[in-house]
Amino acid sequence: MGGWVLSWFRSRTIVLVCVLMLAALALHPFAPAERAAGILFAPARWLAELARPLGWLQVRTVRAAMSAAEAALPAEREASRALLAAQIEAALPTDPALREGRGFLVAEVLERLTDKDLLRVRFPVGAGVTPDMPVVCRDTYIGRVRDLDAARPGEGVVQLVTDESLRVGAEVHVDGAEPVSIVVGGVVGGQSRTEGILLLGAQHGERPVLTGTVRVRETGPGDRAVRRAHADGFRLGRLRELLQKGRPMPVVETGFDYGHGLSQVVLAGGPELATAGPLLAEDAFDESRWCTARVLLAGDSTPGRRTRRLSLPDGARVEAGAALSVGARFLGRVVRVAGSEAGAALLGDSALEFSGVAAIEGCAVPLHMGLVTSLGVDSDGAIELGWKSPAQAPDAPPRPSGRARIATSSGNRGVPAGLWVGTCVLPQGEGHHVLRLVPAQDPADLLRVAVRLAPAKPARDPDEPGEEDSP
Amino acid sequence: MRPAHRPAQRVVGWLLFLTWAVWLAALQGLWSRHSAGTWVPDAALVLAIVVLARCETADLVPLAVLTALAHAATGGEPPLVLLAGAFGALFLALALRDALELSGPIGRTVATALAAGAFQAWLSLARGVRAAHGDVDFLGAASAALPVAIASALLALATGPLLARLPGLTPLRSRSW
Repeated sequence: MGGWVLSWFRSRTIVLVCVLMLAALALHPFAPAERAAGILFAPARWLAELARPLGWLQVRTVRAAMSAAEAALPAEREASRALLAAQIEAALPTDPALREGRGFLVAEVLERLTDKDLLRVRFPVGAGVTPDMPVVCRDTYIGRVRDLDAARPGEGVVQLVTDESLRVGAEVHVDGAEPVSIVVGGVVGGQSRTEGILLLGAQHGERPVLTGTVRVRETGPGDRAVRRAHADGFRLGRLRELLQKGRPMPVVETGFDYGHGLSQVVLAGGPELATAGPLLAEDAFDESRWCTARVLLAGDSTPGRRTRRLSLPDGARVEAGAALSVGARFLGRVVRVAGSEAGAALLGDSALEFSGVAAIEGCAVPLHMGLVTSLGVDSDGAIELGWKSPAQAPDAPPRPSGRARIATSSGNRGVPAGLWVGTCVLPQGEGHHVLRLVPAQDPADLLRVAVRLAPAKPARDPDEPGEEDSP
Repeated sequence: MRPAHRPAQRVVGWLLFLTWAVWLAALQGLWSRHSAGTWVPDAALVLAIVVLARCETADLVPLAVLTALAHAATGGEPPLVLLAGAFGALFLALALRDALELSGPIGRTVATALAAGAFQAWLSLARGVRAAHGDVDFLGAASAALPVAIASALLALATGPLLARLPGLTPLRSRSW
């Protein structure tokens, strides 16, 4: 059998055909072929152990890096908590009129669902969150709670105002005139959500107006309308006319980055909500949520890549996307898990993406950056990050720029907010920027890292409804 | 013609080839851990080409699989990408063997430069195609491949005879010279 196969492979044409077929399968991933290759390459896990003695060459560097990170932990943890507090403060309404007679609950954005207009959020369990509660960020209305996750207490889905099926009652305020009713919802003309300035669809109720500030004004009978009305007065944007196919149509121009600008959002409710639960649903530095993994080899044989194979402790609940850290410093993310072995992309690897926030020198309010992509390592060792700065509304204050400390932000499941990434200079202006990052910790030297564990699934009686399941 | 080696000897030879390849790939990873690894040679592929110069055509299959396995043990590329790349690069070297003497310095250097460059360009292209955004940068792939090709060729030129005589690889030599 073996001899027949070998004689078959003596034909170069057949070998060439096999190479081309492999290339096609490699470029267009086909699950059964990927699984078969995974089985064939299973010994690679144990082969990595062959190279373990090479790690002994760098023991001194590893010890120095680890002790530096551990020594800096208390100060960096406090700085991280201060940054989170500033982010939360920045998400709360500033207008005293909007705060009056209302309670607000901070919710952390966990991830954006496949449908780009839905966010999964986490809030303190038992805080009394119900569907239809309005969701705001600063003084801007961004959507409402669509449903609560019965399987994961303390999590729910927020439907953004950019979603085609969401409609919100509003008023157009023109100086010196009576407000005019209007209905707003959905993005006009298939715009990309990452453009920064979006145009929301609008429909006049009574008499048409051409321009003005649009604020939420929900009306109607019943409890649902009462809950929705807690967003009354929050800003949606500015009304203007858009010519489409030669005909004018009213649109609401937003200045809010719905694509990437959301990390902490605020649920608006009655005054009782203000005392509901802790400020943060989860502590990034809770030691029970981390495990220690061994790096099998501190290097990657493929030029341009910065990946590592990790050996996980038995039974560790690690999922793809989990953060890697040392002390309070971000190192990278897990990209795949197979049993007690995992593959991770480190800072500088082109497969790494995370949600970032910038603490800019001389600026009290942190800048939520949204998606940050690792592009690679420059010849001088600096890490290149890709960041898109979205367009801003004309009346918006200028976006701060300058030297900044970058930290992870909410928005990626598995990556807690507040891990320090490094320092860089944020440029002015909108568009795609390449940032040169000096990392808080060069992940190249480490042989042991902390890996974020997935939350334990709560054991629940299926017959017993959760306190938040009922609207 | 050299006397044929027994199958058991050849199995041991392949296992030792795999061990050397893993060590060379791991060293390669260590050299490049603080940088982009631009000028770091693909040492495991150099070893494979040195062995290919002295073995039969049908040995291309175990050689490509084991080279890909060594890269998979020390890197983060998907197995199918590595397998296709190793097969393609070594098939290219095999095709060059008809025109050039791979065990000689010139043939070895030229074949290594082309095979290592092709392997590196393939990895960059496959990464771009498989990524969610699917951007394919042909120019970027070529520019990333060039330094690796040059570094690998220089390594092959300087250490080819030494790599060919690594302990345990003798049973894999089956061609007469």
